[in-house]
Amino acid sequence: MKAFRYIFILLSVLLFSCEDVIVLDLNDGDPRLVIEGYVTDQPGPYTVKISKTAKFYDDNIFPPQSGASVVITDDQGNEDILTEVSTGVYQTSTLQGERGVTYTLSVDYEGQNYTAISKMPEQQILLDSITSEYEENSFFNDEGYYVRAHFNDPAGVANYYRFNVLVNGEVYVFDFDGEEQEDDFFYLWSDKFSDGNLNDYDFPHTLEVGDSVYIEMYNLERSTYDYYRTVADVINGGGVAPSNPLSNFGDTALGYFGAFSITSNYVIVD
Amino acid sequence: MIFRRTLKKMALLCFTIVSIHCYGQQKYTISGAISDASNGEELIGASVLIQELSTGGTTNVYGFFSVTIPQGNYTVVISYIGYQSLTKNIVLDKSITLNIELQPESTTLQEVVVLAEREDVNVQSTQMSVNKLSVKEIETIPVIFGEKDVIKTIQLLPGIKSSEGGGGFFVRGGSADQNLILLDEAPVYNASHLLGFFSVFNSDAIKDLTIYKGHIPAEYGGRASSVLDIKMNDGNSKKLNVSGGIGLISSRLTVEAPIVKDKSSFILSGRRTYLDLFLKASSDPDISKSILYFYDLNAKANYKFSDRDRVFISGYFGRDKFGFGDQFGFDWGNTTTTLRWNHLFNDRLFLNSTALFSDYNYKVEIGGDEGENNGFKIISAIQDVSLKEDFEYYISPTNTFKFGATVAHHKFVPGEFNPDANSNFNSIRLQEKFAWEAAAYISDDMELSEKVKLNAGLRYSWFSQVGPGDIFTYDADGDVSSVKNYGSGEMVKTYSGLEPRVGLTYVLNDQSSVKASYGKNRQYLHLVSNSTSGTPIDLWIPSSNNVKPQIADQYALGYFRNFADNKYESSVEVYYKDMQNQVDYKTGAELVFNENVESQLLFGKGRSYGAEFFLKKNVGDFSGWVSYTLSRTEREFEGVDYGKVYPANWDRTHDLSLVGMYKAGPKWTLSASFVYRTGDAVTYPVGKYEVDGKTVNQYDTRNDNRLPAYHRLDLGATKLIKNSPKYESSISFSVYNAYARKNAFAINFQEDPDNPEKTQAVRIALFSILPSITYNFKFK
Repeated sequence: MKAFRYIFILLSVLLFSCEDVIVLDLNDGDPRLVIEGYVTDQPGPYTVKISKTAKFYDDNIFPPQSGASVVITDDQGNEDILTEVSTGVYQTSTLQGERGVTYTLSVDYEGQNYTAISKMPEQQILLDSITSEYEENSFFNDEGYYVRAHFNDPAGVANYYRFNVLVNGEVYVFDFDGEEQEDDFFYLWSDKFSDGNLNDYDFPHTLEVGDSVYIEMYNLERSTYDYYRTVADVINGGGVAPSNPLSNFGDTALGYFGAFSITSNYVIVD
Repeated sequence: MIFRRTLKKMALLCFTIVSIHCYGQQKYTISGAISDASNGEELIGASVLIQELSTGGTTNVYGFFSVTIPQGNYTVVISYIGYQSLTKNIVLDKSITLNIELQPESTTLQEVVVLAEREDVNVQSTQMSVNKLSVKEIETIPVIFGEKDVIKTIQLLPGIKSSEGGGGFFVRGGSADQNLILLDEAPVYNASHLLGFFSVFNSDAIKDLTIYKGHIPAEYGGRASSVLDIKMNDGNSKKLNVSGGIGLISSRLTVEAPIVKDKSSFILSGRRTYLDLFLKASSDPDISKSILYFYDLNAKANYKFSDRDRVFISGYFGRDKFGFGDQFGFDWGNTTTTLRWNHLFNDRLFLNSTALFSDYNYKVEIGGDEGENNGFKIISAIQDVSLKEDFEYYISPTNTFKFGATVAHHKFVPGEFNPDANSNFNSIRLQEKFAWEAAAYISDDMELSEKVKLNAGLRYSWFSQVGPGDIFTYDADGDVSSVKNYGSGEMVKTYSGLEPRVGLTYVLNDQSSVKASYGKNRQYLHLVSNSTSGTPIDLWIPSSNNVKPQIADQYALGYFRNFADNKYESSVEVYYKDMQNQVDYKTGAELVFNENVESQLLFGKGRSYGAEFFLKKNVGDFSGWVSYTLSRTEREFEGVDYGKVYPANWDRTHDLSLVGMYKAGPKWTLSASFVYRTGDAVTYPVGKYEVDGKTVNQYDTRNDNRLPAYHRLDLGATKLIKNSPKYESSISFSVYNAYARKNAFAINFQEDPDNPEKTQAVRIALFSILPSITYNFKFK
């Protein structure tokens, strides 16, 4: 994060770039269905949210969609018909996620069917420990304490990870030279360069002594990782030819359905 | 087999064309070289006119000419723009050698003579869709930071489109990797410095440049859209000359001198930016520890063994360095080397033999934390070694025959990942790839009648990816479906084909002509890039079992007209270009450091058509040009929007450039350039939605929107301070983006920081108004 900010500052100095808000005449797409659901190896219930897209210049109100028929089945013969607990939010009642099981989410809504399949990775990978360390001001970091997650990556298989961080029980707020930004970054990792080794993951949160840091590690299947990777690309601007993220709903609905296993750990910075 | 048969046919054809002209009355040849009397530099495109016959020739790119005419007494006029013409009376009763030195008309920096060749060559020649620029033009036109720049200047010509903040350029709808960029005949694989804001060509070291946008002569091949042919200076063979400049962000120095007077000379030309020196002065350690510079070094030497043999060696070495202390380093650069031997078998048969080397590589180095072994290095490279033989046979003043062949070996190092010892990371080497590329060609430039001239060329090209290595095939999802191991040198996949290139000129009168041309070009190397116009980590890949060669067929028609005794030249050209096997990328394609990068590609077709208007004033106190292009470039990929035709990102309906240079008295030269163009075709969001508590933009059809139109005015002024026979100095001022237009480099669609319930579009403009100053000097 810091590296990119640094490159940006440097290029700003060099290029005298400037930013201003402009109003564009955008094409409005037809509203599309957005489905977001997951199953984990933690105790349920699990939720599926269904909403629709909004126009870019409208407020961030994404109309929740009520009255859908939502079913999760697995390859063990289990079926759970979800109940709508609040508008557009659907919950399981009996299902317990298990590693190695393949789940299918099926949504029937407004005469259309939307289906996505996700397999929860078989192996549990423990988030072994989190360590904290003081760092001088550098290319990568401001001065302060930083945490690092340690875990053993299983050899011979491609593994994909996502981390979630809470500092003192809350979402961290970054301070980018005075501009505050809530931590909504995707912390993603693949073992492409470190298969079978003891892996580290460094977090960019600048911390103080006494902060408690809670980290969840999701062990993802490839398609879920690809979804997160491409949704992060979209959030970062989308590159030369932006397009919607790779979703296991294909082109039918936006969003995704993921089955993943979670392990967690915490540390108090000292 | 096909290759051999084609060669045989070519040889036969050569023989036929040559033999036709061996009969007839007694003829003799005048041949030689024409050079600048002040520095010995050979002049390219100088004219040799036999007055009595109203015929003649021009010097080739090596300064050589040959004219074969019947026995007789003749007046020969040798001329070149910006030089005093020379008239010689000769009695031609045997073949003679004429080595001529022309005196420059004036040696001041001030002169604005912008023609690099015979005055009416644009009308009379069989070549169309070509532009030449003289170093004078490049020097006078204002550019960013005052760094005169070849690539930025050619982008002011019709049919050549630029991109701000990218080193790439687009010729007649071709993508950025379809331009063959040659420096002394060696290919340059990444012509950008500083992420594309400057090109690698230091204009102090450049003698001549030509860009072919269509009807690419048969001696060139390997890229689908254009050839940018840049020749380096040979070095002053008369006396020591030191020149240079001190600019806002860079300085440059050129030293040239004879090694043996009139026989041998050298030139060394260097340039380095020093922005990092200013950064060091910063009190912010983030900035003061940073490294950010580039340098170029051009070196060339030549030795003339005799009038018949001359050897040249030239090299280019350039590198960008970017980093922060020992924690982070990123550097990239090109190296090219050319060894060239010009040989005259006789006064009509000229041979240029070259051995070439070209390398582009980048390195990323992460220092890692102290004592933790978590640093690593990444390197990637492409390397070429090639040999080339080009023959020119001057049959008569109206018929020149060329033939030749080339063979190249390509080595690709897609990436090596080398972690520190005892690191958590594994060391990974993506497989190196290898390929052979070869071609043979013939071409004949002839006058069929007073009015009709023909340039007919045929090139046969051949390409083969070879082992060693594991070669993959992929299924529809991009997963590996089979692997086969190939031994060293074993052919994996071979492609070949003919590339006819034909140009026809119908001369209406002295001032005007109509030209038509057709050309087929095959391209066997492809650039994989996650930007449109190039970054240092772009990857070149060979055609393979998964990637077919790109093919472009171009048809062009033009009307050429000069006015007022060739003071003005003008042209209108229309073209249509059909492109096959174009490359795009799958959604979420992983292009960097991926063994299976070929599985991330999409293939489709493209087409481009347009009209180009050009009016240029070459001489006088005021000179310059107007260039306007109306065009459309479309692509069609099954994997993009289910095969819907969409405009290429670099499709620009309108593209206008105005360039003016004015000599305001003996001391001042003023210049200005203005550009206007339709914004790039881009994809804006059509809505937004929420997942994971984050607002995400929703996209639909590719490139359905346009960035706001781009326009910009640049101004320049040069004042001659001193001009004595021994020393000359001048000072140049330039203002980039004079009226501070905020041209959109990109548009970000993001959350409104003041209202989390809203999203907004933010325009990023790279440059506001940007003045600069450069001091130039020359010891003569």
